[in-house]
Amino acid sequence: MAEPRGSSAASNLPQFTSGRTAALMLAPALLIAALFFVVPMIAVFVNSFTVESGGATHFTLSNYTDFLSDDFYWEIMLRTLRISLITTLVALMVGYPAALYLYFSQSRWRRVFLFLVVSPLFVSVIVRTYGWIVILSPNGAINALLPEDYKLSLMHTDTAIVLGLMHIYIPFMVLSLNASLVKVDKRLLAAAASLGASNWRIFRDVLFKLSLPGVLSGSVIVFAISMTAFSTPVLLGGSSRKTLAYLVYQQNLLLANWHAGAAIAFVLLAMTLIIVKLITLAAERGTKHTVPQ
Amino acid sequence: MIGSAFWRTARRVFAIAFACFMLMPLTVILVVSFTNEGYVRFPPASFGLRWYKAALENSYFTGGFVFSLEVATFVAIVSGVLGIAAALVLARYRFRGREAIVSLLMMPIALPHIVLAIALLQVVATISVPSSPYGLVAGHLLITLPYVLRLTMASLAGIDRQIETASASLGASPWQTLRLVILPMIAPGAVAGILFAFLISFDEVTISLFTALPDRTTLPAEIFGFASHGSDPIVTAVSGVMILFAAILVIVVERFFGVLRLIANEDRPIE
Amino acid sequence: MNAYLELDRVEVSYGAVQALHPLTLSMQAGEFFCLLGPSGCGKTTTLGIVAGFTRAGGGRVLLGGQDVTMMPPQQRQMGVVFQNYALFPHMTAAQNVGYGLKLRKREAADIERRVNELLALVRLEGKGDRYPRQMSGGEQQRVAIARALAIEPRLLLLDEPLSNLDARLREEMRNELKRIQRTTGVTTIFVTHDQEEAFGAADRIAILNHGRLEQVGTPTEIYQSPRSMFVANFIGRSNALNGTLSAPGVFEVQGQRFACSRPAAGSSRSWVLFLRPEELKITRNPASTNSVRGTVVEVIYIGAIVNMRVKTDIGELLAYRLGTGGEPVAAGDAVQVGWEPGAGSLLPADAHG
Repeated sequence: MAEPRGSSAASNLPQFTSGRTAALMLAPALLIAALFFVVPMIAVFVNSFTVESGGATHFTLSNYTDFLSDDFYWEIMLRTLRISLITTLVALMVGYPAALYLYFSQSRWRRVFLFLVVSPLFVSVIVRTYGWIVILSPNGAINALLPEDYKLSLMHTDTAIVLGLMHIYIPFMVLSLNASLVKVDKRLLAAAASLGASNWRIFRDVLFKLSLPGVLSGSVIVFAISMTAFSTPVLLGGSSRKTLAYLVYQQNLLLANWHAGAAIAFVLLAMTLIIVKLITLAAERGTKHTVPQ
Repeated sequence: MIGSAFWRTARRVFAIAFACFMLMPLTVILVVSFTNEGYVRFPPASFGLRWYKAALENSYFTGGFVFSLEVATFVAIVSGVLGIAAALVLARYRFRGREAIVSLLMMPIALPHIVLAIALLQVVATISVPSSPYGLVAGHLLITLPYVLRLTMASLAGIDRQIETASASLGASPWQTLRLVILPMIAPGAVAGILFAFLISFDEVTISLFTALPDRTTLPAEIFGFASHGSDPIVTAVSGVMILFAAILVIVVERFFGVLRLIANEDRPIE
Repeated sequence: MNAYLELDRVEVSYGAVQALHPLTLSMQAGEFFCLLGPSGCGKTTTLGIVAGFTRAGGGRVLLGGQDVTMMPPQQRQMGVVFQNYALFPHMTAAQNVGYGLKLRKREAADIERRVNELLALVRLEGKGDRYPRQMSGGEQQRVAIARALAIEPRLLLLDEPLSNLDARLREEMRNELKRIQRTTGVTTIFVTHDQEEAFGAADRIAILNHGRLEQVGTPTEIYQSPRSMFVANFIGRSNALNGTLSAPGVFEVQGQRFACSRPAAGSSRSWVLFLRPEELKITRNPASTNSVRGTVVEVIYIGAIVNMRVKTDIGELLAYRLGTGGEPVAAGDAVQVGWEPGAGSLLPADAHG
């Protein structure tokens, strides 16, 4: 641990503690991070590359190779990916108009609207997911609206997972878009209008282009947390529509198969990171030089 | 973009529809929680408090609720103390490794809960079958510390350092300056961070589920167990209590700090 | 003679606040017209109505005889230069200038030629590839002007275009604007709160205050004969003498009588005589006509001009004169302060403002 030294670089103002006290103030937080974050992450990473046989631990790649050579697991990986991409797209398409409303509205309802958008974040994910179970279940809210012979079986489908994930993560999308849109000076729109741009061209050429950083960050956030979400896909998809999160749950908690369980978790993490990187690279290439800051 | 009457109406209709969509799952839960029937059906045929009574008499839920409160309170306090202490040092000293320490402390919220959860599960369970929920509490501390740290550091960054000089010039010792000047000024941010820590811990499912003790687990983890067996009216009543709890916390946060400032950065002047 | 742009009793209100009282104004083709007034006077609102950004609550806007009151900004073909320039940050200077032409579906080669022409006009040759953030404030300003001119606007509207520039650049850009306006001949409305800018650039000036038109005229007319208390106070510096018209041609201030050009008393009992500092003459001659006795309080040389503050029986007066003219005066000297009988502007004291 680095011992803090009195800062001459930051300022020559008096500091309220000595370096020793400062180190003591920082130590507990660091200790927790080291003991319960660094050590477990290393341990679980090591576990993913080992097996136990006959009371001894051996290095192996089999946890990964077994997983990656199984078509059944590939199907689950692709489903997880597909569900996450669709969730991201739907969240973007539904969230963008909401962000536009926030951008253009000047009424006092704007704050009310924003409050309603973010307030579900304060309620546990498990409760919001349970709300979707009640809505989608055979005796639920949607089927209550449908006539007798047209009842839908919505639970344990990909649609159910997408709906639940999209609803839970859409506040993040709207907040990202909003953060990007508030920086767009409304006079740019007036300028475009005075030059003859139709409302559609104003949106396409100016507003949307300048909101692209928000589109990117919102999409990356929603995609990443959809990929790694746990309770929502497990409860809405059940064992018939397994996702990678379900596999991690199954291997670690239901089967206590830690080595395979650790490997699947790292595959999930790697897949998410790779695709986020690809999205970001593609976005950077597409908007090279065009997006300020 | 200069709204005609049509677009203004369309915008309003969309905003109302979107807000209804956002609130739909919670509304449906609250409605169903007041059913008097033996199973979940929407809309319920009759209303009553039957399932709230049942939830209060169910030891899984009452036990889970008390345990959740204990954990969240402990986590909020410890996160608050450690986070504020660390923030004071990290915001006021420049030393080698400072950025690395900030990144290390912030990293757990960038990682999926499921990865943290299995890491804690595998280590804690390897050491022994635990009798105290230290793995669960540590996991919650890891994901709440970043919020306290970030909000407190942001508050500290907003303090003009000349105020500290002024305090010192008036004869205050460094600790007096800290207690009488700095802490009151960072209080709104720090309190918001602590309330946030409480709420995150209270709401958290994944880590709780993976690191629960055999006989004690949090309320969200209990709900998860019930929910995986389909819909059950008693769960809607428990969820109703969770929603009420969240609503109270939202009001408190609004009083101290402003919900929108906390989450949406909405105090920044627009432009 | 037909006006090119006419505002006919145009008004705007936001809720209970009347941002603009019915305003009637007309401009000739090719004119460099300035809307001048303090912030919140309604000048930007007026510009917004002409551009089509703000909807008039009443009245009509006529452009070349055509009623454009309800026409959306897209169809008005007006070049607007915003206070912060409002350049598209994701487009280069050339793309900014060419955007209006692209919307008009001109051919690429045509657009390029025209963009180069305009960049040359605003003296930005070779800088078309830069993004706004890579340019100085003055350069961004020029891009904004070129962009507005690209669509061959029927009117060029400038909203405080110089306020974001530093003092030296401001004067340079003001002269640039005049040059560009003369080269292109485009009818221009220039909004500003800075009277020096307005007087330095405009053919005619309209002075607004609290959403009302105070006066329209050439800079000389406005300076020499302000028609309201507000204009007299707002433009330049004045000595305001409160008094009464006790007899035809006599203006009386605290018992002292002065000759004035006003033949008869009007309805107002009290009047104010506004005298520009340069209209006052300071002499040592005792008892000259139409003058008042006083003591010099302070003499300050500001470049070529000498400012003198003189304490008199009718209040402290400020006088200017060229440093080279007249006999030297020092603080403490006893002097006579006088003025021509017809000098200054006499206004009723209850005139609004």
